[in-house]
Amino acid sequence: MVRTLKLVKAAAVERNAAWAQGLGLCPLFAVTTSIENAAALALASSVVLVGAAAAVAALRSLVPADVRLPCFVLIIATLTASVTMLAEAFAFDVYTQVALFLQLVVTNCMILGRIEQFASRNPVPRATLDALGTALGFAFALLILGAVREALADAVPLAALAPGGFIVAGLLLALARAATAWAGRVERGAWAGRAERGA
Amino acid sequence: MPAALTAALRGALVLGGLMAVAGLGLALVNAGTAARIEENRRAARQAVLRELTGLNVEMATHQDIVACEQGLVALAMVERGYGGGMDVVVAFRNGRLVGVRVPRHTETPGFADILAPADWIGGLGAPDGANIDAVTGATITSRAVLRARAAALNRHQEAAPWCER
Repeated sequence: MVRTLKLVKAAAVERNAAWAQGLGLCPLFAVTTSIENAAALALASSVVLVGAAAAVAALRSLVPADVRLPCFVLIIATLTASVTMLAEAFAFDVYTQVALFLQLVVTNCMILGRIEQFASRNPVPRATLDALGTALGFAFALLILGAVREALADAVPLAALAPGGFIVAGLLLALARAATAWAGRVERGAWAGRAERGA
Repeated sequence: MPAALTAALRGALVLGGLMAVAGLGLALVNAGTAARIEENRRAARQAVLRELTGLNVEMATHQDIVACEQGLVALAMVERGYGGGMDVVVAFRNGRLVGVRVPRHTETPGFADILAPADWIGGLGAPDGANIDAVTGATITSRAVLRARAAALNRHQEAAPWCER
């Protein structure tokens, strides 16, 4: 249980696709004008990432190394197309807002990156948990950005436009980096204290 | 068989098998959603027609002329925009253009703002809205709408004699 939580936390926080690795930022800026749009894209990306990770992990011993990338992309593209169709059938209003970026989930480097780096080398449960963590981290980044931009949009119209997205995201990334650095110092400080006490 | 050939064959088999499974899966999802998607698109066309004309005319599906009564001609066109297909509804009353609306599209969010009724597309029904080549910054999107309007004008001239009597 503890190991499970550690795996998810590492994927969601320490290796967070958005603020630690700088991946998947294109939809991050483009779609996060409101919480609803951000949530729709986060949900779609999560479904595709978790589904693809589980499928790739299950097939990992079957797929030869030299055709692995086409196979991964095929799986991701199939899931993306299915999610797009389901969205148009069951969430038409949201679909009309984010349709283009729903289709572009297939090219999200965050997804292919996690599949190639982790899911293709690990058993299904671990791959699924890692994908879940990565998706949670990505969704968190999308929702925060969407919430801040939606809240600011009335007072500062720039926040809803693309340049405003870059500025808000830049400030949030700086904040996340600062928080990580501060947490790191606290941890090292704690270690030093323990060492002094001879623990 | 040489090892390289065996490896290539294995790769082709795995990729081909995966493609077959993926194709089957997509066909299943399509079969399960196609009816609902068509109904959603029809409802969206119906909503913009009501907004344009104030009339609650029943719209037929799978036709370019979707309403044809009380001096009203509405045409539903499908055009290729920047992000894929878009539905364009063009309405005429007594031979005059009432307005153009896009109930469904996959254009880039932000650039698609010109398709909001309060924005550029809302002015296309006005007499001076006729002479536009394109909208800077959204050239492909705006040209697609204008192409649909031109096509609708042609179709309307054919249909008008028997719709507006």
